[in-house]
Amino acid sequence: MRRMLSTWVRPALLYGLVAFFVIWTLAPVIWIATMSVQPEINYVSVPPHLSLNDFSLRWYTEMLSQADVAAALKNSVITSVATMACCLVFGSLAAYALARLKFPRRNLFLGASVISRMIPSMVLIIPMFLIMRWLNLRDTYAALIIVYSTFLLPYVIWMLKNFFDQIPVALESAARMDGCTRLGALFRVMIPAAAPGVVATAVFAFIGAWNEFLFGLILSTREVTPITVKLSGLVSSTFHSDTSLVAATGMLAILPVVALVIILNRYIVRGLVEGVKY
Amino acid sequence: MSRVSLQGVAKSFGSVQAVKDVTLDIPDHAFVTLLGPSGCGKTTTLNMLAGLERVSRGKILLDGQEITDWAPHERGMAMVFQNYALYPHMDVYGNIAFSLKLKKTPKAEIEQRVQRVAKALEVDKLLQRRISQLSGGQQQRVALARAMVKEPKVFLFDEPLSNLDAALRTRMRIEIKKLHQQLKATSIFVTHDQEEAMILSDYIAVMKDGVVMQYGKANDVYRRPNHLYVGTFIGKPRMSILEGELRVSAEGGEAVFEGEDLRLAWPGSAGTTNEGVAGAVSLGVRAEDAHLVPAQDAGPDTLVGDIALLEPLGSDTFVEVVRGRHSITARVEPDAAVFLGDRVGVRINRAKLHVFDRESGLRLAV
Amino acid sequence: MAGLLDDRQAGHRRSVIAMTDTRPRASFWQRFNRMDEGRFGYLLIAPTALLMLVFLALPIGYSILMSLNRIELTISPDWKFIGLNNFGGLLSDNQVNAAIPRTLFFAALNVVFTTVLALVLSIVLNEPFKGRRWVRVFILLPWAVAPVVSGVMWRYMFHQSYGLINAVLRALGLIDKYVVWFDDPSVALSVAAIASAWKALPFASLILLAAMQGIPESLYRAAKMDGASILHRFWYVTFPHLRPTVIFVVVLQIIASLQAFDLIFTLTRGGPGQGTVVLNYLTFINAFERLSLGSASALALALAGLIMVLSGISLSLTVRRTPKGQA
Repeated sequence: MRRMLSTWVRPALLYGLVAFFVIWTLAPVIWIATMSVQPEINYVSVPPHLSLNDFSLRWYTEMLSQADVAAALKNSVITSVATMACCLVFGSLAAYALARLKFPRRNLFLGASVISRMIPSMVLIIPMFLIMRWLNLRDTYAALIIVYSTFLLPYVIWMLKNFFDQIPVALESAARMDGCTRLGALFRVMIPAAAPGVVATAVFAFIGAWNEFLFGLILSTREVTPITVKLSGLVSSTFHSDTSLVAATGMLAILPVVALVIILNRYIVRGLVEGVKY
Repeated sequence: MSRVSLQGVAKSFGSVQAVKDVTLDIPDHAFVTLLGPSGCGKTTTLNMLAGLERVSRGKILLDGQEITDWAPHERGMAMVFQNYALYPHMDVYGNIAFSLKLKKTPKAEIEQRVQRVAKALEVDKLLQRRISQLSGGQQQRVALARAMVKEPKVFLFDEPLSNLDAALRTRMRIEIKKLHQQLKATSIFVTHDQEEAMILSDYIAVMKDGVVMQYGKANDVYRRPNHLYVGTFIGKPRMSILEGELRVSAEGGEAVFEGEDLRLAWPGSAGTTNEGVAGAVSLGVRAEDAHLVPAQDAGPDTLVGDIALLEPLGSDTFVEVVRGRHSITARVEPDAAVFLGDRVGVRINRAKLHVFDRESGLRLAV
Repeated sequence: MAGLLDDRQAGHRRSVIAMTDTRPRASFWQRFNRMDEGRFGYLLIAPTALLMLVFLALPIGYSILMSLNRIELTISPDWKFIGLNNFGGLLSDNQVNAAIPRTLFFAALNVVFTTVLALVLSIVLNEPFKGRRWVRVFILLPWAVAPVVSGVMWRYMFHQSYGLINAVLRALGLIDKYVVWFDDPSVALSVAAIASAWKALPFASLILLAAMQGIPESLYRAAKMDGASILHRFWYVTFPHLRPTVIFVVVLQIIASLQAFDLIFTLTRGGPGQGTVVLNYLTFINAFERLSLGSASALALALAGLIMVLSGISLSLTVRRTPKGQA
């Protein structure tokens, strides 16, 4: 009896839980996706009346044809890619130094980068606003890229350092004997050898920049408004005509990162776990 | 093909002195081994030669030019590593060709040189393989090929064989020796394995605690170790040591050794004597210089004791004879009729004795 | 001699030529390449260090300075030094006193939801089942979704007129009329906690899963031999090994709750009334709506202090020895 129970109870419980977590994870995404391809009237009615016949992508095309939404997407792409590039370049230099070179006060820098991960952005937002105004950088890509890079670099450096630590020192020595300078060995051998980790770090930096909101809200007025800020404006504006448009914008805001997660899943999982280690 | 010389080279990591004072002159074409236990500073010395570690004090010269501060890639040396250190993201061809590509060698020439080296090391069938698909022995061959293709002035080997199993190690050892005989390139080899050092080297530098204890032709280091440490480190089986007092009489040159419950004497003979030496010594005897004789034939130069251990190797048998606190290992023919527990004599050849000062360990001329 | 030199072949031939050539100085690149480790290390961290100095250290200093002054931009642009009064005023401030219980309530729910769900999910993901590979991919999704967007999503899930939750509950016959969820502050805060847990779950369950997979298989086999049931095995083998990671997740969620802003901004905009204005949100309001920069800075710094202490705790749970580079 007991054995019989366990032969079907266990899988039933397991698959039940799997179903729960899949629904829990996907329901909000699927719901907003549904809203973004249906006219508002269909889901406002009680009960919702969803119909394949009404399926349309026109809310996407309409949003994309609106100058400010298209610009916000472009802004997000530019700042995120540039932030990722900055993080990778500066981050790999610093991570290499921390992983391989002995220099005085190395631990001071390590400590400072750990502490800087703990500083909440709310502490920095007012001074950052004033500094950027003083530097005349408000509402420029440079401001956002600088701020995002500064925030993400401590994480990026730790992740990269952990990946570099796993590469045998001899590999780098071999490259230097073969004719590379130190930096040559870093870029031609260490980074390619740590490629999965570097990819994970790059994705991490990109997503971090793409999803940022607070600094985008405060440091941009019009020209460089990122998609997150644009979306929040649409949601709270009291007289938007069509919720489907907001839903479509929400989808546009997550599509790039969702694509990254699905394509680079394995790297990301490893990178996340690695980023926690000290 | 180059001369290398180290002049008073030292390296410290913080307060730890890894290499204290190393001075070596390595002649052109020579195969030199830095031999010593782990932590003796041999790898650090090699890394300083390569430019991978900075020199704290002293000078390094290559063909008379000072290269102490040069970056590794400026030195024209090649290195073979213990863990092979092949680039995991390239195939075998890419690994071998890497240094040539960095030098912007024309494609056709790269192709030709890689093929030639790969053939020589029998990895030409593996050129398209990924590194992870190679066995340890194959990886080490590729690593050798990668070093060879550069046609470096100096080859550096950092314990390249210690990750291989015994059979493979013996084979690779011979191949490295043959390679050196063909290329005649100056080679500096680091190992803790004295047998490897003896087989491969023209010159051996025995290191301990960051200092070179002895540097000389391999055979000289074996025949005339200048320190007790060198004597016991080199040679298999280990050199037997008898502790006691040695007196050499001034007149006849007779030498008398007295240890606890043991007296050995050698009559004087012309030309072999240094008169008047006396003191606490460690007497070193190599197995091939100790001859087993029947106990009843014992003379004054014979230690009589019981056989405590037999080590038949096929070609020879080593016999450990114990008397009280003294023990001595002798070599006999493999078919000699010796048995555990037999009482035998070990006749010690005075001319082959190694006498070391007990306190300083330094060789005494007797 | 020098005229025969071709720059491009310098790399290879440089040393050969240098032997016969007694050039007094090495070139710039030679000197750069021969730079000693320490100086080179400094050079490599310099860009990052500079960024951190100008855009982290400087703002923090400025923030501290502001927190010691009364700055009410709605009244005047002047600063008036008042020492630590801003910090003293925090505890007697009505807004702060109202935000504290909200924050605690939100944090408690957030921690419970996240930790419980993450534990269950990590156990599920550790079991073999059909399609596990794909489930693992999808489960990660919320991690990548911006808090702002997850706020929007959950706003639409619980929306009074087109929320999926209302539709499902009605279809199941549990309600007749759609519920206006966001009218009740504690319900609104609960939804915020759900949304926050939804976003935090992938990361939390991943590190729990990693910790779980670090438990030696032999321990389970030994427990099985002793006849321990699944629950027993979980309680006596798995859980003790997971405890540090569980505490880490708990601390992480407390920190996240203290920093909650983006998500609530799009989920409820602080409403109903001030019903979901948690401490960090209040900082934002003080700074950018009331323009009282002094007290906003003080509140932000107080929160930061709390977060640093908590981070210190979580740090001490994850520190491992950095592997030493071999000499």
